[in-house]
Amino acid sequence: MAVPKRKLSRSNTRHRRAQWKATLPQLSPCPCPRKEMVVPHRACTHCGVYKGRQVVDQP
Amino acid sequence: MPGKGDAPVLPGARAVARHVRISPMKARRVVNLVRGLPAKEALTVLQFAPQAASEQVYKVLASAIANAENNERLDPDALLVSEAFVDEGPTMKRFQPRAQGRAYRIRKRTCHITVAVEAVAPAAPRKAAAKKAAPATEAAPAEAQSKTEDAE
Repeated sequence: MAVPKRKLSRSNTRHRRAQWKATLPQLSPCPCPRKEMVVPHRACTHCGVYKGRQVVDQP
Repeated sequence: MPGKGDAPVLPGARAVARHVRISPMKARRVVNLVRGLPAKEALTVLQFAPQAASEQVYKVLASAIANAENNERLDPDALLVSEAFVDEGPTMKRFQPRAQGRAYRIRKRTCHITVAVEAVAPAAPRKAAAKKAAPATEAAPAEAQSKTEDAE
């Protein structure tokens, strides 16, 4: 059975873990007057507007 | 909150969520995203971040903002996430039976999430107190303006 020949140093472990980062979500302002931020290609969670038209009934 | 060395202590508030059932590594990944951001902006980032830990961190940040607003009388729009860190909590140990009578350990890790917010302007508490008076003074000239417009 193949096994690692060398112990993985803490430095290598830390370098690998330092690369595991989350990216900021891409957000754009909704055209509605409240200017809430929305994820692109999704309807606004507050007003239900997508591409300038109402796709979800307002709560 | 004690300040470091001679640095002036800015008014702020903090919130700690203890024994959160999420591993510290995963929570840190999210917390690193919002450190240093304006508090309101950080909330929207956490709201839309796809990581599962973002919901827990969102709650802590919302709590810290509420503490600043209600206990310290700070303006919630003038807050920065000054400090955000994750400490390890107690680990719950579980066992996974394996072949040939072996047992592997499953570690269900927990963490403590701390978020501190800070008012950027030192005059923020006075500003917040004056805010109630300010709209009245602002509204008065606006009314006067509309009256003059009506007259014209």
